[in-house]
Amino acid sequence: MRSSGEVYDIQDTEYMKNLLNLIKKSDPVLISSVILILLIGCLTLYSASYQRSLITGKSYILTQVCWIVIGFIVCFVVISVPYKKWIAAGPYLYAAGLLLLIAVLFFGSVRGGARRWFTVAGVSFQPSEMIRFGLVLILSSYLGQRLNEKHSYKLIILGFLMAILPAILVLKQPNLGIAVSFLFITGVMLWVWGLKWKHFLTLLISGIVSVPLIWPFLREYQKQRIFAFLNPEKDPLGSGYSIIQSRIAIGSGEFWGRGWMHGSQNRLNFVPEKHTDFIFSVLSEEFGFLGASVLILLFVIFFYRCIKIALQTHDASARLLVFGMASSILYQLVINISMTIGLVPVVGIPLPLISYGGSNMLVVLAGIGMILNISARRTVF
Amino acid sequence: MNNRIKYFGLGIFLFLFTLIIILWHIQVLKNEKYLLLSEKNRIRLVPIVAPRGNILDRNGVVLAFDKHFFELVAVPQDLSKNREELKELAKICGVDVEYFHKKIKERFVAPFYPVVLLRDVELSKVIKIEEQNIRFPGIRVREVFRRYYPQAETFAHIIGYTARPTLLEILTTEEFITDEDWIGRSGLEKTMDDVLRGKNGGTQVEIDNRGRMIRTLSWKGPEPGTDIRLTVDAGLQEFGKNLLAGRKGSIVVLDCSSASILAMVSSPSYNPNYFVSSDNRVTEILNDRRSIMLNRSLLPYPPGSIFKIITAISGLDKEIISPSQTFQCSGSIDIGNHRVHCFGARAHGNVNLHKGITDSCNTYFVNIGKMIGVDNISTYARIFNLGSPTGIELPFEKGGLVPDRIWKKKKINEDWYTGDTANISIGQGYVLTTPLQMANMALLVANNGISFKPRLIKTETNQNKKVSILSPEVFLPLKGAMEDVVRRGTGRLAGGDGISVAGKTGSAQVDNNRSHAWFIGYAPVKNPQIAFAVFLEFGGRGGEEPAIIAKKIVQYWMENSR
Repeated sequence: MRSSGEVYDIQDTEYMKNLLNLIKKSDPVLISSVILILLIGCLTLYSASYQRSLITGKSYILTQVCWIVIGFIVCFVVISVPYKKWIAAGPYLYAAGLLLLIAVLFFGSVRGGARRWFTVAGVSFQPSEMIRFGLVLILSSYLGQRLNEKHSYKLIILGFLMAILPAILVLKQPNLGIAVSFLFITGVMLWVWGLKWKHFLTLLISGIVSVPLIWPFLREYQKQRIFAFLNPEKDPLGSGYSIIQSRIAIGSGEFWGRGWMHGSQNRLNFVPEKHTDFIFSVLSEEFGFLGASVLILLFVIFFYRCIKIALQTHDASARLLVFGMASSILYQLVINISMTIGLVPVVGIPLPLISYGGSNMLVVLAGIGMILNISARRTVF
Repeated sequence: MNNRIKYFGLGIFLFLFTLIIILWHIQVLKNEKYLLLSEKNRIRLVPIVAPRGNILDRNGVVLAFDKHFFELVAVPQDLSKNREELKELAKICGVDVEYFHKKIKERFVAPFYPVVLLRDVELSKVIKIEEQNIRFPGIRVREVFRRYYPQAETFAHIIGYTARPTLLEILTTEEFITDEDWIGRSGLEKTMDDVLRGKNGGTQVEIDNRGRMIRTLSWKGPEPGTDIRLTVDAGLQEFGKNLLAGRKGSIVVLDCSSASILAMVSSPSYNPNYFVSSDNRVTEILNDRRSIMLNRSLLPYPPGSIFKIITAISGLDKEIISPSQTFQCSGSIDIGNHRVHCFGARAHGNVNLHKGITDSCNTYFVNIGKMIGVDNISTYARIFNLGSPTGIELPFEKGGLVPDRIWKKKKINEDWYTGDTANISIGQGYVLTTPLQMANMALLVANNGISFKPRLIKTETNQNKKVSILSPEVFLPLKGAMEDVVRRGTGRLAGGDGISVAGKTGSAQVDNNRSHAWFIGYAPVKNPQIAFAVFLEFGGRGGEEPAIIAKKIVQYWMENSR
């Protein structure tokens, strides 16, 4: 690993010093917003998993804190390696991700009818999270090096294929939410890259047109969820249950919230999947409109800083990288919140930095590490 | 590239801002809706049924009360998983364990809501179960009430009966009622339901998404219903019931000083307890061809000759006739195209008012009726509170019918004929009255024009007094005649043995062979205490059985009233 070049060419003892230096040079506001979001997340998760812990005897909050710590270590590792090297490693990571996605379809463990996880020594992780990382890296390098080929259809189609390929594999698991996220991230990156309006619209329209083509491939429960989203009252105890109960939880939070650990919808288990996908409902019930808005505002600050970093860097690949990572987090945030208030169908997308779950926490923190990486090196030409 | 980034950033902020606005809408503007929904989600009520008020007669004899029973219930969430205890319990109760399993499955409402396994558990079994109650988690014996009517048939038409409410009633009744409540279905149980029912209490419990009870939030005790004291005398009612045994008819006895109902018998009767225990004999009651559930005291019948009292009073009060005025009776008179015979087709000769009443001479009344006219007769009939319900505290009371020109035009679309007037003046034709109305008419005569609204529920003061516009003098010749009806006229069988009764007989012809029999009157003659009406459906002549029954009633009252 210790090759020549840039900041990396240093002695062991100076590694930590150098790392701290890098963090100092990166964006403190962004780091602060992330830490505050994590704090809110831990508080909410404690309340949401309290009873579950009593039953299962497993401390969800402790596990989550462990993942956060590991996530920070991963984050530091990401920062310490210059982003250019990461971009160079992109195709390999992407290919490895694809292989894992294929492997998980055969060897993955099944939970709730979906084959999404690898479980090693009691710890499970989702390869679909990892491929997102690879996808952003490969697209950054691919598009970043071809700034003058914006008219090339071949280029656009190839770029999009990079998203379609893992999307199809993830749909097989099935995981509609993540599959769509690949298309979203690619769309954002193509847009920032400078895709012509005409092409962008063509892609968008063909995307919309292809929705009915996807329909026959959806699982029955996915169709149910879409129907339930369109009319949740129709089956209030069945597929519409989650949406209705989630909305009740959010609405009954009112302005100030019912108080930490005092949400009745949460405590009495009316909110489904409340420590993972529906944790926003618990947060909104217990911390009210105030808490929910503070969380969204913290994310606004986070994205604002991301955009600032992107504008300050003059490396096109780095800029695309920031946007890829940020849009991956944005997608999760928007879809998750929209899902809990019934704006989009229920899809299994966790709330970034808040929901319980290791692999997502790792990928999100790694992504943030990549953004900080660029932030720390933005003045280095 | 820079501009695109800025647009994109703007897009993000706009979108996240929209999310905040949506949250504001849900959490601040629509908060009440969702707060209510979340309360609905988590709070349930386990009702505690309020005991119903008792119904007592004027002397405190209990006519309806809540009898206590033991019920075996199971709380599904507390039952042990393998339900071993049910087997043992079934052994004690002497039933098959499958029966319990079936009940739990059928009657399951929520895990916290007790399911009734067995009703009417014997005390010996209750003791056995309670002794070992540690071994039966989730099993409880609880005390419940059930309405009971100790006098059974005697008061069925007055008290009525209760039954469990229907699902629709549970959902639509403003007051909180449950399927463990008793709701009045007829009689006083129905009309006084609000007073008798009381207010249910309940335990508010917090439940989770699977309906398991988490904790008790609050408890509110039930408010028992109010007792009702009736004006009825249980002894007289029982006596009257026995007099009518095996017959169709009615006896109404009123207290002259207030029109309080002392007895109101309708025969045949039914046992209201059958309804309460959802006995299969209920179908027998409902299908009985004698219509035993009808309260005959409140049903309209043609009054026949007892209506002559109204005809006489209207003539006297209007001064159209005088008591001494006479008419020749040859034993029959033609009304329109049919002939009305006097009693036994006997020629009464020269008939004045006194003789007209005592001998119930149809010829006399047809003649004076024509003079008085239908307008006067119907007006006076209404002064005697006929043609509309008396307003007694019972459901399904009928008002009867006082016909007049307007009614006939509207209903039959025919003009009023003299023949109609002749018919009404002897209580035939269209006129219909209830036994209760007739007893009240007798009371009005006895009181020289002072009447009351008949009532069943005892109150401290009587505000129902009605003074009619009639001059008291008009009653004198009539009362003298009614005295002689019993002394030497058509109602002789009601008198004798030192009994002082004034009355009037009536036989209302229904068809060629059959007639309803009436006897109304008051006693004692000088200082009337009670007024009454005895009615027998297809009972023949009023001077026979009804008169005998009236005598016995008066006799009983005189012997037992003090």
